[in-house]
Amino acid sequence: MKTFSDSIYFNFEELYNHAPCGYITTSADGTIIQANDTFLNLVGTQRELVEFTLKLTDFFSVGSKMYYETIYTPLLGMQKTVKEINFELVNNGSRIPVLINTSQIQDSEGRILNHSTIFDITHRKSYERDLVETRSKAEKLASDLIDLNKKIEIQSQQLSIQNEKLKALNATKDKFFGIVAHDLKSPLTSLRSFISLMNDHYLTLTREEIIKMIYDLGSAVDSTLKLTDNLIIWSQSQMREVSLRPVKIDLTAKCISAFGIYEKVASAKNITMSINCEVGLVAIFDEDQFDFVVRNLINNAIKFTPTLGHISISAFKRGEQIIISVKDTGIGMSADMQSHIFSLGFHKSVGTGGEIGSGLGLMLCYQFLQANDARIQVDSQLGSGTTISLIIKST
Amino acid sequence: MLTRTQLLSRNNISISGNSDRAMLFAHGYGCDQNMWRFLVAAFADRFTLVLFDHVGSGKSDRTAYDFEKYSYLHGYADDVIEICEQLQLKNVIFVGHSVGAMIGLLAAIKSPHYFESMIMIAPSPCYINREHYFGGFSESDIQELLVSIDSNYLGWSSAMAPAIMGNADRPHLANELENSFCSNDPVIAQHFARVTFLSDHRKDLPLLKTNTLVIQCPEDLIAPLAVGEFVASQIEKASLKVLKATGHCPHLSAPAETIEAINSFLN
Repeated sequence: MKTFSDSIYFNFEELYNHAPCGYITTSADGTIIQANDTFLNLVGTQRELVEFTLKLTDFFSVGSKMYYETIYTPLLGMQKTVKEINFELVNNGSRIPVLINTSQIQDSEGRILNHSTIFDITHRKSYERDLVETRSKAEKLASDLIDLNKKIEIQSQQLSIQNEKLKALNATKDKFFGIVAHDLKSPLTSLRSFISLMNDHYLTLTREEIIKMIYDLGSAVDSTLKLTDNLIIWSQSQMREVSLRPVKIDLTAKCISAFGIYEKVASAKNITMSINCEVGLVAIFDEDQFDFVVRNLINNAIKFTPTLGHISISAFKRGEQIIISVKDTGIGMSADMQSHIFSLGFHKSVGTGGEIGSGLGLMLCYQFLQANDARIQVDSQLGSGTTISLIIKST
Repeated sequence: MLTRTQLLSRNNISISGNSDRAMLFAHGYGCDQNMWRFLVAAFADRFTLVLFDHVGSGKSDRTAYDFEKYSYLHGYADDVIEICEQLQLKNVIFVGHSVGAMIGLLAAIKSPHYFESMIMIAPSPCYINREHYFGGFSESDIQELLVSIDSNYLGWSSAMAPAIMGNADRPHLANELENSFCSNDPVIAQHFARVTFLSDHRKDLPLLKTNTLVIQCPEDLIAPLAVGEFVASQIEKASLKVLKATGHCPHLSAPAETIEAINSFLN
């Protein structure tokens, strides 16, 4: 009776042919000399068509052929053994991923032979593809996350910059309110003193003294009224309650009218005024705002020009622009002062005749000009007068 | 310009012998200067032998791999010229395999004064079939090669092995999985493959004025015989030697026959 070991265990041919992997032996040039059934099944062909006829690469996809020639063959030549190289076999158009291990030996006659095992790794390959896909998704997510983080960082930087700006603005406003409160208090103090004086000495005061007091008090109240007017306009502009109403206006007429109003004020301070305007200068501008700007500029010129000075107003067209200038022979400004005059919190200004101002007027001028798409230009030197020019688009 | 030491390490240059005639060996796509192992002994007594790895391959300095510079074979050719210049090589016999041969061609066109003669083993000026030209491949074939490169790095190369083995703190375990001789950075290998197999230098061939031997084998899957014939016909002073050996790497598979072909050309 045959034993179990006789029949199966030692049947090497059976094991060779039906092993769970492909076996092939190739000659030095790659021709398949011998192949087992598993390999033949894998590539879907018959023994007599393969042995001594075809090469292993004949069953390869093109990419695998290139890899075989450029990597596998040199590697085998160098190391005599190559492990776990991934190739793709082609069987009737379908592709089978395999791992190939090869050992190179010399037979008894000195011929080079390569023994290879070929493992079908279809399942492992699909897991591998899943792994790679998952990895590239994870990498994508990671890089998205990095991008997002960068954006958040930038936003937070912007926020902290804005925060700093807000803080600075707030501090300026506080300072400004301090100045305004002080400006509002001084005429009230004067009024209080006047009332006290009248109360205590109304019998002994001369008529001239009373007239002088009334005059002084009048101008103090005037400048306070002007300040409160400006404050109202400013608070409206802050609350965006000022709606812009741009209309076509005759700038020449507006300048002449402003000149008429301020000529008397100037002559009271012994300042002469002249005007030289081109006729028919027309632009689109908010009418009230234009009046405000021009009057402020002339008023400022009078304020900062000493007695016997001169103020000249000019308006002319240059190309597409209308340039309106108010030039005075006043005390002028340093470069440092010029850089601050349009911003809130500019130090309290006192005119050459003791006129008091909060600096609010120029800031409003600047805002109005911006709103009307116009520019302002300052040309001044300390001690030698100031020229302020408005540059407005002509229509 | 790099110092001699920097250059030696960048291209992992090895120099032996002190003859005033130099033989400079440039390997092809895939492996490194070890490819020349069976060949060099035969020339050691007559020549100074200079072997190197292209930047990105073998033991070259991979940090020197500049994706812009090496987007054209000219980048590699400039390295060859730099080697000749820095080592003050004269009367160079340039031996290049596959793309290494094309790199030598570009170097010898740009700086012919360094080169005495060129030996091109299995060169191909253009791998992709074009009108009236048979290169052996289509563009989609090149894409398949890139997939193959990926596949063979994917599972078991440095990119993934540490994660799979769970031994990132003991990387030498992962390294053992790689085949040291042909192990290249997968990203560089992809780039070099693309640059190599999409290159077209057919128009450069007639510009070479140096004596040239083209060695070609039958049954070469990378550079078919027709390509070798084309190369030899386009170079003014070229002769073609078709070996009995087959395949793309006769210097590995049939070193004796390759040496004999080179010797008879040099004599």
